[in-house]
Amino acid sequence: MTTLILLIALGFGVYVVALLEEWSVSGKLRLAGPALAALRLLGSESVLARKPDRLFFESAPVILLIAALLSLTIIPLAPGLIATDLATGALFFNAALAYVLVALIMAGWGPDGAYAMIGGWRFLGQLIAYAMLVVMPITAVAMRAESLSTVQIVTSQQGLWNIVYQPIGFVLFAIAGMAMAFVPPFDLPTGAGDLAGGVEAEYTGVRRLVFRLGRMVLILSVASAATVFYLGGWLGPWLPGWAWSMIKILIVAALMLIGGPMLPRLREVTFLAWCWKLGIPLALVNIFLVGVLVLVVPL
Amino acid sequence: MDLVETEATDAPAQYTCPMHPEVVSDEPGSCPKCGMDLVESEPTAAPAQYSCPMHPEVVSDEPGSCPKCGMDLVETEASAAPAQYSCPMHPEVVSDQPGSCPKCGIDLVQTEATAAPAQYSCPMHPEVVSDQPGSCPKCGMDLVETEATAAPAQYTCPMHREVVSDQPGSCPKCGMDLVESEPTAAPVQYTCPMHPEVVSDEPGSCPKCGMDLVQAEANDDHAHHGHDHGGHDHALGPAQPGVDGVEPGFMSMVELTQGTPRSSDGLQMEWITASFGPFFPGLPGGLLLDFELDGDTVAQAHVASLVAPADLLENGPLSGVDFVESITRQMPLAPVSYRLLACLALEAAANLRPSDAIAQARNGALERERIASHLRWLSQLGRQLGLGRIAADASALHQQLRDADWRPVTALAPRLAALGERVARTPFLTRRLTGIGRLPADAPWHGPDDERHDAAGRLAARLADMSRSMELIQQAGAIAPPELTPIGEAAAAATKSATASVQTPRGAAELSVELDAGMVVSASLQTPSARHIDLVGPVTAQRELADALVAVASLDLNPWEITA
Repeated sequence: MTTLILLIALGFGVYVVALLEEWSVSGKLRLAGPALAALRLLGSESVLARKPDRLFFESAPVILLIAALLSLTIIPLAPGLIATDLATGALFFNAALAYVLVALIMAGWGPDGAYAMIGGWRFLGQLIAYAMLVVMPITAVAMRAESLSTVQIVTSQQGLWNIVYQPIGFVLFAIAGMAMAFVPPFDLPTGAGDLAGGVEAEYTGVRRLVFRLGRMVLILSVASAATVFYLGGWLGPWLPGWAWSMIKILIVAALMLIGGPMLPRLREVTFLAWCWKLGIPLALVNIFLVGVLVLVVPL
Repeated sequence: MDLVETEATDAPAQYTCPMHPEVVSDEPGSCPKCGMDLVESEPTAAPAQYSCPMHPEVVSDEPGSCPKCGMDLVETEASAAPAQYSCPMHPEVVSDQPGSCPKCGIDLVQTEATAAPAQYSCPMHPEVVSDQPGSCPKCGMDLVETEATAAPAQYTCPMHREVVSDQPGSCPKCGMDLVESEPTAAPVQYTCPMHPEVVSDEPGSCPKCGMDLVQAEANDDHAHHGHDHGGHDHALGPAQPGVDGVEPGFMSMVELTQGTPRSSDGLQMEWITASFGPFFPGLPGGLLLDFELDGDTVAQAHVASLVAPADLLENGPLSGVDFVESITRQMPLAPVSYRLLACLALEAAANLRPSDAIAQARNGALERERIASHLRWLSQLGRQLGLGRIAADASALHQQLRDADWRPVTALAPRLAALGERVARTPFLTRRLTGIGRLPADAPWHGPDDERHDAAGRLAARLADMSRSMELIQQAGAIAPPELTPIGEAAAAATKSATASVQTPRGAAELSVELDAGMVVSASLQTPSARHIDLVGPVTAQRELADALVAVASLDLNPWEITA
C-alpha cells in the first residue's frame, strides 16, 4: 500500500515538474504537454550515432533514472510513508546522487561526439564543487537532528524550520541541488546554446525520453530533499502530512525552475570559482554556527 | 671369370649423383648440376618401412616400437612422393632435406607429401562437401567429384571484411549473409587506423587506443580517411618495452601524447576538431566555423562562409534597375541597406539627386532595418546564453517590425524600450559578457562599439543603436524602401564612376560603380563582415568553448557579406 501511494506520488510529482519546466521555458501552461511530449518521443525515430560505445551509450539514461529514483527512496512524505527509513538516509541521498555523475560521463563518452564529450567533462569538472555544497549543509542539518535519518531530521524541525535556523545552508543546498540536476542557469552539460544539447544531443526517441524522465525525477528528488532538510517536510497545520509535503515540494521545484530562463548560463570558470572560494568556506561557517546554536540554544 | 650367383633385382639399375640425389639416370654419366660421376643407386623399389600410426614422422627400417608412444610400428608403403620435412611449429617451412627450421631452430620432421584426397560436392550447393560420394543433404542431388581446392572456401561479410568463416551463415556483427570470398593469397593483416605501426594477423583491438583493427589495404599509404588528427603526426616510435611490474604494452600519458601539439596551460588533453556551423543555435546561419579544441579550449579557429556572394556582374553589364534588384537579392540579411547603397552609388554616378522627402523615407527604412537586425542578433545571443524569454520576445518584436509601415513601427517604440530595459537589467548578463571577445583598440572593427571593446560593450552599443534609430524613424516621418531614381537619357549618356557608403547595421559598406551608357559595367563592394572575419581568430584563441562561441556571436557576422 505504501509502495503504491509512493509510486502514485512519484508519477504525479514528475508530471507536475515537467509541466513547470515547460512553463518556465515557453511561458505557457499546457496541462497535456508532458503526456504529448512523451508520446511524441516514443514515436519519433531513434537516430543513433555512427560508432557509439554501445555499453555506455545505452546504459547512461537508465543509470540516470536509477540514480534519481534511488535518491528518492529516503524521502518521507508523511510519518511512515517512506520507501526505506535508513538510519543513514541523509548520507545515502548524497551517495545516490554521485551516480548522476557516472551517468552523465557515460552519456558524454558513449556517443563518440564532441558536443556530448565536452558536456560530460564540464559536469565532471564541477562535481566536487557542488557535491561538497550538498554534503556540508546536510552535515549541519544532521547535527541539529542528532541523526542522519530523514524522518528524525523532519521531526527535529518541529520548533523551527531549518530554513530559519540555518539559512546559509539552505541557500547553498538549493544552489548545489540545482547544479546537480543541471537546471538552468547551471545547465552546462546540456547547454542548449553552446553545446546544442550536450550530453542529451545524441539521444533521440525512447532514449531521450528516458533521459528526460531521469532528469525530471532528479529535479523532483532535489526539491524533495530541500523540503525535507529545510522546510519541515510534512509539518504544518490543518492539512494532512502528505499534502503539506507535496505542496512544499512542488513550490520548491517551481522556484528552482523559474529562475532559469531569466539568467544567462553560468560560465564554468565563474561557477567553479564561486563554489570553491565562496561556497565551501560559507558551508564551513554554517557548520560552525549550527554547532554553536545546537549547544547554546534549546531549540 | 665364373659367373657368381647374385640376387635378382626387380628394378633395373639406376645411377644417381652422390651430391644431388634428385638427379637420377638409367645410364652412367655426369651429374648435370655439379659434374660428378653418377654412381649406381639402390633400386627405387624402396625397402619396406615401418612407421608409427600416431607419429608418421617416426620411420624405421625394422619393426619395433614407437619411441614416442610405444605403439607397434606398422609397415607402410614408401610414399611415391619424395619425403618432405617440415617444422612442427612453422608448417609453412618445408624442405626436401632434414635439417633445422630457419625460424625457430627445431629439427625438421618428415611429413607425408599430401596428395589432396578426392572430394565430393553438390553442384547446387557448393558448400556441401564430403569425402564420400552420396546425396546432398539440402537438395538430394548426387554429389560429384570436385578438385580439392588448395585453400578451403571462405565466407566473409561484405560490410565487415574481418569476419571470416569456413561455413556460410550470417555475420555476427550486422546479420548479413556471408558471401564466398577468394581465399587471399597473402595472409590478411589487421592494422589500427590511428596507429599504423600496430599490425596483427587477427582482428581485435588496438592496444594503444582501443579502436577496432581494420584490414590493411595492399597499398595503404596511411591516408587520413575523413578524420582530422588535429595536427599531430604519426611518427611515434614503438611503445617502450614494459617496465617491471607494469603490463606489457602500457603507455604512459607522456608517451601517448607524444607528437601531439602541446596545450598552452600544460594540461595535455585530447584534441578534437568540432564544427559549429552552418546551422548552430546562436550563430548566424551559413557560417562554417570549425574549432580545433584542446580539451574544451579553442586552439585554432577556421571560419568561412557557405553563402559567399557571387560576382554581381559575372553575366555582363546590368542596367541600373537590374543591378539594384540583384544586389538586394544577394543580401537577404540586410536587403534595405544594400539596396540603398546601390541606389546611392548609381545616382551619384549618374549625377542625380533624389528629393529630400525620398531621402527621409529611405533613412526611415534604413533605421527600421537597423532595429530589426539588432533584434535578430539579440535573439540569437539570448538563445546562446540561455535567456529564453528575452530571445523569444526579441524574435517576436523582430517579426512585427521588419516590414511594418511607419505608424506601426512607431507604435512599437514602448515595447522596444521595455525590451532594452529588461536586457540591461538582466542580472549577471554584463558580468557574463565582460572580457569576452575583447578586441585590441587598433583592431579593424567598424561595428557598434563602446569604450570597453568587448562583447558587453557591443551589446550596450547595439541597444543604444536601437533606441537612437527609433528616434530617427520618428523624426523621419515616413518609411519607404529605396527605389532607384530613373536614369534619364542625358545621364545615361554620361560615363562616370562613383563611390557611395552606407552605415549598415554591422558597419560601413562601400560600393564603387562605373556607369557606361546607363549600364553598370563594373562594381566593387566592401562589406563590414569581410573585414571582421579576420577577427574571429584573435577573439577565440585560447578561450573556453562557451566564451569563444559568445565572442563569435558578438561580432555579428553576416555570412552573405563574406566573399570567398
